[in-house]
Amino acid sequence: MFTTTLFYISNIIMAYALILMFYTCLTRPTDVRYTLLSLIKQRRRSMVTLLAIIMGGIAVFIFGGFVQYSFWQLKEQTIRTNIGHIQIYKEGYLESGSPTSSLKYTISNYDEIKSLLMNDPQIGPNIKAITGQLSFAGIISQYEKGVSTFFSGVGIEPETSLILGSLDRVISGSDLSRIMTHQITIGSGVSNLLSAGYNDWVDMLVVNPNGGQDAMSTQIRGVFQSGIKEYDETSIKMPLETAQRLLQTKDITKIIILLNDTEQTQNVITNIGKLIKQHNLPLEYKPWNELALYYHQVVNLFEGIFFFIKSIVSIIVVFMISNTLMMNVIERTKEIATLRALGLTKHYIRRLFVLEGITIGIIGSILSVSLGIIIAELINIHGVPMPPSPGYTKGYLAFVLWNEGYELFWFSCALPLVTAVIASIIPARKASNLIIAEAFRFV
Amino acid sequence: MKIKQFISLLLFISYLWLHMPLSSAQELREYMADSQAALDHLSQTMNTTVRNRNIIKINTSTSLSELTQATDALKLSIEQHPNDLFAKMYYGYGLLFLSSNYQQNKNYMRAAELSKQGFFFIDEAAESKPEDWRLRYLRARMDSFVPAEEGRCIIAINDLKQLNNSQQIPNELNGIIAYLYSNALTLCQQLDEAKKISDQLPELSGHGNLLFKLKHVVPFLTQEEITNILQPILEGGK
Repeated sequence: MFTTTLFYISNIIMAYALILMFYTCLTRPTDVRYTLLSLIKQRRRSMVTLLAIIMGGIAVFIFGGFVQYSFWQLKEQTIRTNIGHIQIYKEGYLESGSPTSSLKYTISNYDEIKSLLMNDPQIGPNIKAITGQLSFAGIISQYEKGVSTFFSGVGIEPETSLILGSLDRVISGSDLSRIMTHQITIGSGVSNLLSAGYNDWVDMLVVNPNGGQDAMSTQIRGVFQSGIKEYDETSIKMPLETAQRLLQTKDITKIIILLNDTEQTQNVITNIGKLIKQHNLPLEYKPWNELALYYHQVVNLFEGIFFFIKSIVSIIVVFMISNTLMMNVIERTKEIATLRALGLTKHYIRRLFVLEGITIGIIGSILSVSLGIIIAELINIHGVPMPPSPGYTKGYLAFVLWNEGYELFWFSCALPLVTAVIASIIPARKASNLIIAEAFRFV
Repeated sequence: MKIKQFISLLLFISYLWLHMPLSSAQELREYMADSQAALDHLSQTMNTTVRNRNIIKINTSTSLSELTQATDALKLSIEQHPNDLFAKMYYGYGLLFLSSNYQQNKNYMRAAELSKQGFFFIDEAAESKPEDWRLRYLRARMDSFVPAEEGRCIIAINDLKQLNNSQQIPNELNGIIAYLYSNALTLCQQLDEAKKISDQLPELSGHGNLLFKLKHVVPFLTQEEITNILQPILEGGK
């Protein structure tokens, strides 16, 4: 709410500044010339002020680009570590809670639903991959070493799991196979606990939907690492048909959809809702952002830090410009008195000083963005190594994402211009309220 | 006289010391040139089908557009002939080369997707017919040189152990197999074993003495590989 209000106020100020400049250029070009000459007259002071504005603008631009990249990276990492963009469940699944009780809420007509989704003209073209997944839990053991641990397993289609889990890194061995369907992949935490790796045999004990127990001996074909500690410590994956055989069911727990573009999520969700209503399907669904708790925590943290930095930079820029203009007013007291004596109104004098502030702001905006882009591209040659995000075990290489969306450009232009206008208000008022007689006597 | 003899001996030893590595480097260059000539000849004589042309392109192209074209064509070929395991293997190769390209251009998301798909198809090709040593060899050749963090070295070691124990392998491939094995062991941090294998290279047939000089560099497609692996694959696709 607060940031939205600030956004609208800033837009109004920017619009005022640009209209004023444009109007002055058209109707009184000599005023613009006068403004520029006044700034050039105090070259050193103007340069120092401009430098402070540019540095503040660049800092905000680069940090904003980092933050945008970090958000994008985290978002895609979340989505492509087996969550997908949208998940569809049997009605009642979300309330049921744990994976074991979720075997009561399974989808039995997956092929039919998949066909409906793929053939829908609003939904189908947006889908990059769609897969059924069967979730289950149990105990996995390596009897030779006398070690057992609990696991949370998923049965997934091997080929689609490559796209859905494209950021699940295999650190030893291979991904799931359509040929060696009896083989499984395990998380790095499970591998460490069992001291088991590629080609080792393990035994699994699970509870099937009927409440009975099933067991299976299987070979490990790969060890994966998603970067999420809790996930890697308990997860195993196997081909969907193997999981269905193990649990003696043809059903699946959920349908996971990966879209071509994350921005289409809301649109597709709406259409899925319509499709479900239209065909009276007993299904419910959730988008990825409601499933990714860590993502929101990290985003909120970064946004708070960024807001704090923006505020600090804005205050510094306001003071710098205000100081420069105030010094200008003091030094040009007699000049202002002369102008007033010649017949210029208070409003006119005020406008001249506001124009000076706007000019500094416009030059600062252009240079901030231009230099910001150059520095961003230089940084993007190699990137910057970053530590892992909260809840993750793997760091990443950060870049400055400056060319996705307009928000960064808007803020980098708004910061110098809005702060310049605000900073010029007091000096302009001071200049316009000078008493002519006293001003002439000023030494 | 004694001093003159000593200086002459010193000069002769220096000449030998300087000359020997040069001749080995020259031999290696000649071997590379002969292998390239064999590949060029094969490319000209065997490019009679779309499938063969694209397999040759995967082995020879470095440009992104040619690789993309060849990979897409092989994908189509697999859809039409799902039992053509060599086309599937080279499709996997193509995806991995494309992944490497995207990685260099910092498109990490796309690189990760293609990398996973590439290894998936290579594994599927090799595991569909485990008795075909050529498929296992081709998988091992890729796995022996991908970065260690891909975790493929363990698969390469497994494959190369099986190849070493197989009676079907022509003797002239002993050198290159040992070279791949040594590199896979190095990637998996089994350095003592790797050094043992590497030290045996100069005595092995199939230009083992020249492969020894490469020192963990991805090898060019050797004459022996062209004759014993690529040529039969392309002849099968005529």
